[in-house]
Amino acid sequence: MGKVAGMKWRRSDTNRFTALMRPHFDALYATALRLSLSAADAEDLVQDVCLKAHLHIDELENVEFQRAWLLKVLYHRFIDIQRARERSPVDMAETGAESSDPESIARDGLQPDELVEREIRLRTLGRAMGILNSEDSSLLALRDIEGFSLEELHQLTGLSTGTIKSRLHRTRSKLGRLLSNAAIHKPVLTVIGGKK
Amino acid sequence: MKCESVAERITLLAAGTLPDDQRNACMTHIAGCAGCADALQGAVAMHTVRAQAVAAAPDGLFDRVMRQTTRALERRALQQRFWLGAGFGGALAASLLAVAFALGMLASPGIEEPGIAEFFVSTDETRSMDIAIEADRPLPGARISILLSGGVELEGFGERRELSWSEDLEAGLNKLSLPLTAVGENGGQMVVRLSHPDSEQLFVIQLKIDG
Repeated sequence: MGKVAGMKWRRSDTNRFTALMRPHFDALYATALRLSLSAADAEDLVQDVCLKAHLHIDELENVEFQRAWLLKVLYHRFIDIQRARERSPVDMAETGAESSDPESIARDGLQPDELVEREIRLRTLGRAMGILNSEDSSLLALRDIEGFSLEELHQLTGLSTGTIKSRLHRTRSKLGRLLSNAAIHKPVLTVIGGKK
Repeated sequence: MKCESVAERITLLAAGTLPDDQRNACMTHIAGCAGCADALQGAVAMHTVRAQAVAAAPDGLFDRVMRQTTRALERRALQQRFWLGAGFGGALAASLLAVAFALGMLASPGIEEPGIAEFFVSTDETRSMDIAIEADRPLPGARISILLSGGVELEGFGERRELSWSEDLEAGLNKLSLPLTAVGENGGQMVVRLSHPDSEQLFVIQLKIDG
């Protein structure tokens, strides 16, 4: 149908989308698992990212750093989930639903009490990221967790590298202050090995 | 050492991979700078996430997620078709409208009653109307005809009122974007006809002036 000038025809998007997502899927899943600490939550997270990506497939096809674009979507979604959980009257920890999945998360030689401590630390970090501005929080994650260079972040955001540097430092400071703040350290009952 | 210098080294400092001399210089600064001390705590937290080894995606997960994505999108398309059929088109005064057709799904060949939808066009801008054609199997050589009436033009076609062409449709959703501009105050109408040896379907879209 490209024969008809002025009209844009797109084939069934399924194959196009599958080809687009396949090279990035493992990286997305790994990040989702690191953040959510559970295989079930990680799957939900990547599912949400895929849906959003499909709805913006034309934009995604044209961005230079597709993985960074996808990861940014993932971080935003993770932050949205964190905020929703904060607003929820149900304490997920008490239900056992918010517990790590030992088959998916490496123990890294840690003892059970150290694993609990790490999980609490990661949960607290998730809550802190939910309090920070989404853009700042995802920018910091792309740099500090994903290891994107300043130049890549410049390409992704359009911000100058100087602005990115100062924003990263400011966000790290805010994050550190939040982590020191007892207000976000909710009492958590952590059940290692609990499943959703 | 200044805050900027600490900021440049802070991820390596958090990871414990900064050379000793630089590490000592950073820590001396941090001891007297609350902002950098907070930033170090933030960097250490991010490093904890980065350093956490995780299992690879399970076999079959990619295919499952792709299938679920397709199903979720199909549900959305069906929902949009329902809204239009139920006459809620007027509420959708957005620049984008999706009209879903189902081809190859009819129990018997023939022309179905045309569905009617509304789309709002403007004299100030070109708006893209998306038409989604949903096919339950590949439909080679499907014939697509567009008839346009009233004060609306398809961008790039001027006053041309009729277009018709054949297309090999794939199974699933096939999307067609039509850029439309109003050239008068009365709006117009578009009739889209899809035909295939198995089935034929008409869709009428009232093109109304926005505002």
